[in-house]
Amino acid sequence: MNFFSDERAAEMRELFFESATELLQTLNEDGLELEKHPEDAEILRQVRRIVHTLKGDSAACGFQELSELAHLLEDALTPEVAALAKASLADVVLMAADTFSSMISAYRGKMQSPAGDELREQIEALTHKPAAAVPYKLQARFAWSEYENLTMEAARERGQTVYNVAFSIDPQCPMRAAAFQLVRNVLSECGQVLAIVPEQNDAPAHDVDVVEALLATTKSRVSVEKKCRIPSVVRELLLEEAAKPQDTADIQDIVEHVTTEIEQEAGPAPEVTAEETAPISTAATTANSVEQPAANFSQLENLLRVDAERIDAVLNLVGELIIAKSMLHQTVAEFDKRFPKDPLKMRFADAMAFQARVLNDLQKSVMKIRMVPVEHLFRRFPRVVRDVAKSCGKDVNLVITGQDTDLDKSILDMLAEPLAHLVRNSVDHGIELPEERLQAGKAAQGTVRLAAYHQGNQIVIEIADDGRGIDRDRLVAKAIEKGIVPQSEAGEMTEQAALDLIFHPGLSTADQVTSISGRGIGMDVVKTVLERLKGTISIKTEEAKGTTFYLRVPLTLAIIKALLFRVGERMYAVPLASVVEITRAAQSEVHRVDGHDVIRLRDEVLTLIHLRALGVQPASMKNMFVVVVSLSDRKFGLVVDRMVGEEELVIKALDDHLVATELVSGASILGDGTVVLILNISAVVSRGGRMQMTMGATA
Amino acid sequence: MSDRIRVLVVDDSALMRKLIPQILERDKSIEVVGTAMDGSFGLRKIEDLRPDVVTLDLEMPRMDGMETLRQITRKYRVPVIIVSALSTEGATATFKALALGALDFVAKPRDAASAHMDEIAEDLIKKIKIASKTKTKNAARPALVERPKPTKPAVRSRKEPTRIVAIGVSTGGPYALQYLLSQLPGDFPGSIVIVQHMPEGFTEMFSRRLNECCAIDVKEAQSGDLLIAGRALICPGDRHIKLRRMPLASTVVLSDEDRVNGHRPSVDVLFRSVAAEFGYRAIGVLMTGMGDDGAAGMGLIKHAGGMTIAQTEETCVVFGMPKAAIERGFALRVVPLELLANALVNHCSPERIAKEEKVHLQL
Repeated sequence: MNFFSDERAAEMRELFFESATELLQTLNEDGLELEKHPEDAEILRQVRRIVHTLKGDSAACGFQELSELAHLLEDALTPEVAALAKASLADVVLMAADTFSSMISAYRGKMQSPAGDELREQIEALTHKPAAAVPYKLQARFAWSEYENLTMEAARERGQTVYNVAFSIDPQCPMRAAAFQLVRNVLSECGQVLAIVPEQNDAPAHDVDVVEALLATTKSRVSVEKKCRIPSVVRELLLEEAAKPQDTADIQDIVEHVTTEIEQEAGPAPEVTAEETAPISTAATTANSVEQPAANFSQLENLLRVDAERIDAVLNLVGELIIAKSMLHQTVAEFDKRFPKDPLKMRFADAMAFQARVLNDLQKSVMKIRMVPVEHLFRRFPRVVRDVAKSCGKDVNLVITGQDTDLDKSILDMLAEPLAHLVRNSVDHGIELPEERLQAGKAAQGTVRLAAYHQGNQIVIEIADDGRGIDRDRLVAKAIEKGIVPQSEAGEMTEQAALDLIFHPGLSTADQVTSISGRGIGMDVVKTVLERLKGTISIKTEEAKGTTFYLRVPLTLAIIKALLFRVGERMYAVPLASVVEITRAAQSEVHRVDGHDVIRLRDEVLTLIHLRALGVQPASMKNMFVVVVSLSDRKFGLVVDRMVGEEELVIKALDDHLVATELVSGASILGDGTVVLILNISAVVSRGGRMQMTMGATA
Repeated sequence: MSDRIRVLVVDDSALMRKLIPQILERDKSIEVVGTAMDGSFGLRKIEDLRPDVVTLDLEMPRMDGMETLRQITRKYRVPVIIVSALSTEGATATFKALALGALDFVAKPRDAASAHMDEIAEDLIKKIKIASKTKTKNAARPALVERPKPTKPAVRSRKEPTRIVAIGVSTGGPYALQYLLSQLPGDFPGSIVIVQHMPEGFTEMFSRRLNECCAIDVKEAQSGDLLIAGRALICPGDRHIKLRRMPLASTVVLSDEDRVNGHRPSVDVLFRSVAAEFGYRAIGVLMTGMGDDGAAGMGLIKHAGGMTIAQTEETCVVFGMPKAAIERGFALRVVPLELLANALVNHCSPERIAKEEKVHLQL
């Protein structure tokens, strides 16, 4: 019979999976902390608390294996064990985090949960460190009860000798029950059996193969021993004279034994009593320390878990509202024109302004809901860095800054894999081995920096290492070798263009593909993902100093500020964030260099891309608008027909079969129903550049 | 104002914060008015919501359960039920919490999919109901004074006890027992056997804790333990305890027989056996607790010529078991908790026994 309805139980499990995933993440983090400070009691306590909660939660959901392992681990997480095990405790904790996590995903997928035997062994190895593995030895406890001790004494008073006898029954012996009985019979022939475990009427359990007995006899030790060695039944025999209790103090002894046990087991016992005897002073200090963090976490308590889909639905509606707003706007503008003197005009304007403000706030707050700190993403990297560094024998320190920078959840999710790849790469390829570093005059420990910060309407994520840097020449050489770049052009490649080769599929500078770099996705995929996100990636590298990757992504995908312009009859837009400036140019200022149209903009030479050229009509203008956009540190000029203005666009995703070009990354609808195509700048630039090149070549 | 019992759940596990209210939801007379993820929130919510009962997890980040409990008992006098996980450390903390004024404890819910859950749910609901009724009384109960470590006799001679004191106790027991046993002198001439309704695994730590703060010895009973003067044996959870007179001494025997009155250990089992084995040398004591376990057994002790004592209503957290015994006319004396130690010392004193023996001989 189930206590909860299936639905309830499923809900409960879902909650468990979610919270357990969070717990495991924290466990990973604390495990790493523990590795750094193996003796820190506070961290140890934290780890234990997490394991404890995990134990309770998994038990509540009926996940016994997980719960038992957690229980085992919890009991091993004591300061005593920590002092003994040092860093290997952290290893076990991290291993536990992995095992738990695979167990949880198995539970989640309703699959056979992986065996936790390895982890169990590891934990047990921690707790039983001093006891080296003994092959097989007959181990007897001879734990006689108080009454049995009493009978022992009485027997001694009668002049008998009391022996502790232990038999191990031969596992090959076919009839176990009979064997036990035989042993009992032999014992009673030898003398008076004061006690025997297992008792006469207890059926011998299958895992019990030892009989312990207390034998009082007047016979000599040798004769007893002779009698007891029953061939092919008794494998081993232990015979010793039972310890004499210390006269009258035996009970006291037992009691004392109990109390010392308490003191040993309840390790922090002195602390307990100290707390109890001075409750006021400790209360006062803890009260102080508690007040302050409580304020920080007040918003945490009111957490609400909402399905991302629901928020997206709200966001969609807000998008529609914004479109409605511009519709209204245009209608009012028309109204203005028709009835310029109408007194209603002012009231319309007021209402419009008010509506616009509220709408703006609404949009912002909905956007805010979707924002999550990048910490969610960054927090998994310490573990990644540790594992990779460990596996390739490097010593790497990960420095994380700006983890509270907010980013749209969907962007964050998409960035997870590329970032992990870049971080792995930095450790695997960027950072040198300690010996190499020392030779190069660097500290043996390498540093990987992970940083996030705002820059305008974008978020920048930097992954920097202080390793060997990218060998540009080797990269180019390899590209030539693979036929990616023709030999002739190689010499003319700019620094940036050469480095961009790294994103080309099928290029790897690592001498051998390691398990780390072979895993997951390649650099080309990193680039694709960023393009899909309307973001960019750029590299800065310096030989022997290190490499930095800059990932730039928009704050959000759903609504962007864009610059609108017309080319021919069509309305286009580019994200305002990538626009550097707008300038005008006369036809006479355009020069042709290397098959590219260029103009001089102040001190720079700006490559022009004729958007018309991408379409059908050829370009012929006297005076044109140039929208200067930046793309991974380079600037390009887009030649457009007419500027329209700046507007907030709600991006509507385009189905692949609707738009068969990569030049457009999305579309939006204006208030008057006009469709705006949002240009994918990087695609436009590469296409435009190439077309002109071929045009130049044929010309 | 509704007369439902308003409960606040304080637990750092999101799962438990969901699970416990769902368990309690099954009972219409209980309403979970709020949950809190740690002690400091718990305290704030107590201030805001004024619940009738608080369930508290002891292992929490920031302000831990122990500190929270201290503040709750100091400021609010709301009855607190500890929700405790079974582990060595958990049990120690639980008993410390009981000494600090927590009313009772329940084991953490385990395995929601099994029938096991019903038991836990029942236990939790029952204890919350009990707790809600003890609100005002809780404030009046004598505070436990944490004395400096008691001095135990250097050598405890294995003396035949003058009397066998069998104690049955349930809800409110951990506190009441600590109060009683810590007042007994180290040379207490009787031998004590206790049945405390408590889940398996908790009794060991409970005994150790009592042993630390009492002048008499306290030990979790094992089969074959001797009944000796100045020692209390506590029956382990999920076993029954019986007494047996053996040729050389009297011992206790543990058994795994079925539940009696829905309990294992059952007070009736202990009382029946002490009446049968020791007759007029038995003293039966029924202390705070729900239900009527032990009442019938007390009748047997009385019948066999032993002494029977029930705790007074005013000092009981729940006046159930003693009440049942009093109503059936089985309690010879009704004694408040503060005087119970005194009464036991009197009834076990050798002088008094010598007098009584004379009376018995004359009869």
